[in-house]
Amino acid sequence: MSHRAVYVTGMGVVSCLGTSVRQFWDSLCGGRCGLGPITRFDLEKSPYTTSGEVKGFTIAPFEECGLSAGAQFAAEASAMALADFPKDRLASVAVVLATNFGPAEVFERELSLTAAHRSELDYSPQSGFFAEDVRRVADRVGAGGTLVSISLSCASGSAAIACALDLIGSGRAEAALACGYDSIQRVSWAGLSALRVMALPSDGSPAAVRPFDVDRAGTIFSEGAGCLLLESEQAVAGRGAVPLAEAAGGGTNNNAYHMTRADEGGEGTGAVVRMALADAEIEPDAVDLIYAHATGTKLNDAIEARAFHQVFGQRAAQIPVVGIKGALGHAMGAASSLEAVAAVMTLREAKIPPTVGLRKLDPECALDVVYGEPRSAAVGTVLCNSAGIGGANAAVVLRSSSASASHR
Amino acid sequence: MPALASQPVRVLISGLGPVTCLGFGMDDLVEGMADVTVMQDTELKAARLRSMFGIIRDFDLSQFTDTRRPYLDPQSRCALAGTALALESAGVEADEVDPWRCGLSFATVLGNLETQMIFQRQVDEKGMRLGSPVLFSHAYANSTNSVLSIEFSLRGYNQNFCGDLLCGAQALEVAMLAIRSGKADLMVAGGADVTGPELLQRLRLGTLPDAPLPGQGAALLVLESQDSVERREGYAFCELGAIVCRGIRGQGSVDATAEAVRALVKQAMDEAHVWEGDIGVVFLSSGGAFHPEARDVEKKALRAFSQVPTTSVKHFAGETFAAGFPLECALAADVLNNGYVPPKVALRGRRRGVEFWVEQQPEPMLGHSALVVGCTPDLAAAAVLRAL
Repeated sequence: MSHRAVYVTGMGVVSCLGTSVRQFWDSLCGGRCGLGPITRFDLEKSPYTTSGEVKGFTIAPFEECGLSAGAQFAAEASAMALADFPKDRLASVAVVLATNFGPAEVFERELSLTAAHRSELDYSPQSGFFAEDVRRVADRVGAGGTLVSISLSCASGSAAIACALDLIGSGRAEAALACGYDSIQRVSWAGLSALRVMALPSDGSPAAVRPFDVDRAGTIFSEGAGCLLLESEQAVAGRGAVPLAEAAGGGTNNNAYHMTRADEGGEGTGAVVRMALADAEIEPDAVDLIYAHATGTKLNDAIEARAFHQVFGQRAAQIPVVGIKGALGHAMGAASSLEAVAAVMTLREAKIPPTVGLRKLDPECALDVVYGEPRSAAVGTVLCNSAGIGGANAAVVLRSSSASASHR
Repeated sequence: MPALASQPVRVLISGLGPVTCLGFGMDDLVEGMADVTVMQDTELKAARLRSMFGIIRDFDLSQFTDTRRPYLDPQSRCALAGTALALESAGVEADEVDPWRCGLSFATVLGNLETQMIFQRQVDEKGMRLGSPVLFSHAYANSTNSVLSIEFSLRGYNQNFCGDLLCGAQALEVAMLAIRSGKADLMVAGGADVTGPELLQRLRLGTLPDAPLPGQGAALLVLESQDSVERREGYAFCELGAIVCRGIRGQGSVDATAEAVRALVKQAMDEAHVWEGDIGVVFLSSGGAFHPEARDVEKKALRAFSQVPTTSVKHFAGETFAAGFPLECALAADVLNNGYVPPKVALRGRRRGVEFWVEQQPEPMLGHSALVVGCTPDLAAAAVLRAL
């Protein structure tokens, strides 16, 4: 259990649906889709041509700013999250960054250079280390606390929140940025394509992510960054901040099943949800809404639904569920961070965005999936679930301030 | 010995799995350190040439697992061996622990860059459509974590750190917190980094003057709640009293940074209920490694322990990156369990004719605790281990 209450006091978003929390949220609730053709690199006849590239954001060349593309997203989202944080306290803010691929393009470029070209470059190839991203993001936003770099594939964002909860809950930090990020790059796109989990165009329609849909045919990877500023109860009270929500608990685990194949029993997902609920010191009955991982792949959505039924029993079919990857794509390391940001917005605005892409619910996913229109609902406690390649799972519980007060 | 009343869950170190150029397991590590009396000419040449130092040789994965796999990154292989050794030394039997209560906290600085390099070359040569999904799945920075989880049914709390040279310390810290907070009963924790000469050269590692030479290594420890050890009637090497990692950037001067490290050491000792006089041996996981100024920080920060025997596995096995701090902790646990003081490497003449030799330190060890300290320009870490 986390020993101290931890609150969300700031948020930031860089995504294909907008580069502010408000743009992102309004786009989600408006049912808009941010996916489109890839423009960043030559696809070399790859059939996978759709992605969710960040729009309204100029990626500076690495030589100019010293940050990988993903780190630029993370720095921007982190700066947003810290907008109202006192500058004189930045020195103590920990930075927990989480990503699938981090600065992979820096290493990618290093490998493609000849020795002669390399000697002309004014940068260290060690900039391709994950540690460099977190250091440079921290420098950019002026955060001087502990630096943590996590990579837990597509569960990274929630894993960052869970880690930040550990640090603050144990008294090792008073404030921490928990930021998931990733960018789309040529070599990682080749790898993601090789996994054959992405949706293709069909019947003249562009490729789409259709979470929990009977005709779902795969996911579409995207990019961005989502950041939550987390603070201890004492820190929040000390500076008179108004919490956006409580980060009540988190958990991570591994299916320990297969490097790429999903565990059809869904035991790992069920276990990580239980771990997060236990960390939040609540029973399953307390959950009012689930932000599902909902990648839109045939197998994973069904497994996730099965796991929810294992944990919540008959009530699983009555708990509202939403998946935002139809609108946002699968932002990899940023995915669950962005879902957490959306969850906080739901807690604050009593609105559940629709699951874009869902047209006809798959009976195998017997859940109360919100789709078509946003749903108004006062929500006290949200569960955010995520998973990634290699069997990684992570879950986070977020609570409204009023639910938090009554819980304590 | 100070009381432990304020510590609700005692975390013990029950398994040790070091894999270095000195060999596999604690016996190889300790004997390898003791056997080296004078560094060989070849190693001196290597030192001057700044080439690879601690290469793991004669590695046979089949000694550690029967599982057949289509592919494994070199790092995953060594980490797998380290975990097998750690669990074996802990005497953990699969049927006596709940896999959902057994987790993994793993660290790697470099990730699986060897595989990433192979995958990229494949894509460059064959085109974007023909990358191997197997290679790609092993190129992820958490691939080794997944390999270990699958092989050893580590289904519980899980984290994967990819930070600087002290990310192995962060992995240990989070594992300890997971046990203390009740999220896990047993955590395999540590790190590994195993890359070949080409990659190290490309990354310009080990090419800087005054930098220690890179090595290959994995070090996994089994951390376990006292209840868990007792429940399965297991044996523990020592207690992990505390491990604390903290950012030390922006202090402004070596003295100020040393003061921050000193405060961190004090925090770790307070948390472990250990006093300065209890410390019988100090291990420097000198993250100073690639950052000479960090060595000055360590020296100043640890002035209070100047009379305490001090050593570093790094001098024997090279800079093993994420495995570095966990390796020092593994040796510290063995030292506390057996009551000896490990040898240290002395060094003379930094410009021409670098001369190393190994000094045996006084035995037996005075004090019942060991301190492991490391720092980089960004982070400092301190671990306090207590004899049982």
